[in-house]
Amino acid sequence: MKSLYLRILVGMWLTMTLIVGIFAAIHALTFPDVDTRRRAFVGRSMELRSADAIDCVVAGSPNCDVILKPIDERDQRLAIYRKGMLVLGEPIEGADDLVKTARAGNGSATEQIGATDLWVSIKDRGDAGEYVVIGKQSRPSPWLFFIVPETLPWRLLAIAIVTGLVSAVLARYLTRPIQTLRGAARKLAKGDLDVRVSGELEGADTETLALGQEMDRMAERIQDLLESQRRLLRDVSHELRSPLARLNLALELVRRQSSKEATTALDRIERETERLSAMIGELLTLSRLESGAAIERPEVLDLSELVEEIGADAGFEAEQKGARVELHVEPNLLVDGNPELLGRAIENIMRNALRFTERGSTVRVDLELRGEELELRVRDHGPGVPADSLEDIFKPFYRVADDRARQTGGVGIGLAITHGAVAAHGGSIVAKNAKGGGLVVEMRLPRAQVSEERAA
Amino acid sequence: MADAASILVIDDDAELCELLGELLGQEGFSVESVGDGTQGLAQAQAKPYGLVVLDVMLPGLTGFEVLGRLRKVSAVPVLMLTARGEDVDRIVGLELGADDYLPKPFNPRELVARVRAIHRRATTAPPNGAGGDGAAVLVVDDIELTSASRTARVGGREIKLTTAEYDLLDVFAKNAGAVVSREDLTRLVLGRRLSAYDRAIDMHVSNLRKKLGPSRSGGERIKTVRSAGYILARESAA
Repeated sequence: MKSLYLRILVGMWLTMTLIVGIFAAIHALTFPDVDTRRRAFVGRSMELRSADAIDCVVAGSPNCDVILKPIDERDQRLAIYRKGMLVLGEPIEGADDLVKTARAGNGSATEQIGATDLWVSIKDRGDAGEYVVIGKQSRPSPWLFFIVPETLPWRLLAIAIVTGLVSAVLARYLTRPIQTLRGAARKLAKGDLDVRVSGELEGADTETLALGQEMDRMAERIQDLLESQRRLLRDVSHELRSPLARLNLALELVRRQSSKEATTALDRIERETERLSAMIGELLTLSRLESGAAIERPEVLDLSELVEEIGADAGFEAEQKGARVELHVEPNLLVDGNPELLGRAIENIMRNALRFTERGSTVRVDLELRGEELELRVRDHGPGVPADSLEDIFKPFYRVADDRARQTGGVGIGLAITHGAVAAHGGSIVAKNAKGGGLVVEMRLPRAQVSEERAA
Repeated sequence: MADAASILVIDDDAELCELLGELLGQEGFSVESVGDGTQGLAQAQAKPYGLVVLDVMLPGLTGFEVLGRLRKVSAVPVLMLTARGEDVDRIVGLELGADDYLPKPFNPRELVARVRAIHRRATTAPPNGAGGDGAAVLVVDDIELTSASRTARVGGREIKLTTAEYDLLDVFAKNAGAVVSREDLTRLVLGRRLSAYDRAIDMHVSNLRKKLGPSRSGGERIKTVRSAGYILARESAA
């Protein structure tokens, strides 16, 4: 029972039910001689009723049966005999010995046979003769005064329902602030750092409210830290551009003055500066995407066309590796967004697939409509990614062990940009290991909300 | 007439300006540089330069502001240096009337190639070797292009076009009624190959559309042909 709600519910329930049980126990302990009292009570009652009945018979009144008629089936039963003959009531068997005992004693006797009490009383009415009264009563539960057995199930049910309802309401009331906290924590974990919870906790208990306030402070702090980290990354990248631009120019000037022998080295330097420039550009793109700014200048674009185009380019690249790109694209799928960002997102996925796919294998690209989402799947036939790293490949500079990307010139933030771009477009992206080896990257984007005419 | 070989560089990085001056100097251009937006704007209007190289990030006025104000008075070719990673800058720059852009840090040879392409266009009118009839007037419906003076008239009224826009309209007019691919347009107008996500030509088309206004029948003069290119529609038989 891990749920607090259930714990409170069951706890309350048990408590209330136990209270009822304890009441019963106290009752039983307080009246231990309940049986003796009852017997005295019953004896007295029989005495009085039989006296009335005999009076009735002696007087010769009609309908004396009414006096002995049991009020309900649990009631005592009485039979009155005179000289061995039944005078009133219904016959009661098995009391002959008890009658003898009574005659031998003071005129009355009781006996217990199993759960039944038998009672005999001999009444001498002088001229009217001698009457023998036999009474019989099945012994009721000792709880009689506390519980009326017939309604017991109903009462237990009522207790269960009432306590259950009260407990449920109480448990819900107590756990609701925790649900609120949980919702906020989940949003926070998803990266929505603007979540503030104390406003929603109005009316909650002091402890929970304090927890909520601490959580808000934590969110604020994380937000500050992330923001400053982003700003640093951004500023550094930004500031690196000027020296790089100068370096490029100086390099070109040197190249023009240098001898042929230096060309190889200069080419190398140029390649590295190009790589640096590209990396800085991508870092800035990434930091812009991660800052959560909305997509600037979105337009309705044909994703099918974009995928076909990029797929064709990728196919050309694949040929040099002896691999193939197979496109299965549903036509005319529209999406709202920035064509360059989405283009680069898709390109990066395909590049990644081509980088890892086996020589001579096929990279399969599928684009289709799934409900209100467009789904792009890119599957390669490479080594795949360890299951616990599947999410990490979308982090900047993350590299799976024995990655060959370093040698093939990857900057290492391509998929991070893809992830950022897809998120900025309200989509999602996941990587999975395919059955039979290789990696599948699945990207989903919301379909553009436009009529077909506008798109045409 | 502008001195086609003179270039004004507006960039606050003095060392970079110095290096640019040296490099472009070797290519036969004369380079002046200004490190401030306000001064740059004044300087660009003070002398008829063949080209302005304009950095986006400037103290004083930003590059965009300089460009916007400059475009109100001058059609001088402008090459924007945009920040790498700030993709929107390029589109904004082109929208404001820049002829082309180059993300910074740039490859110097790429810069030289672009500068040369702009220079070549400015010095060899009419562009694209349309023939020796220099005084020829090209007419498509109510559009008139006079190649000698590089002026365009729509319905008899002169419209102000930047160098790139004039060249673009020239290509369209010569191929009126036929689809011209984006690749060809980029090559003919910007003097370079179309690269991935290069939206420069689309921005020029969009700017040109605005300046031309709707056709006599009310439609768009330059139509987009999906995944093929653009077409200047003819309304009447030539």
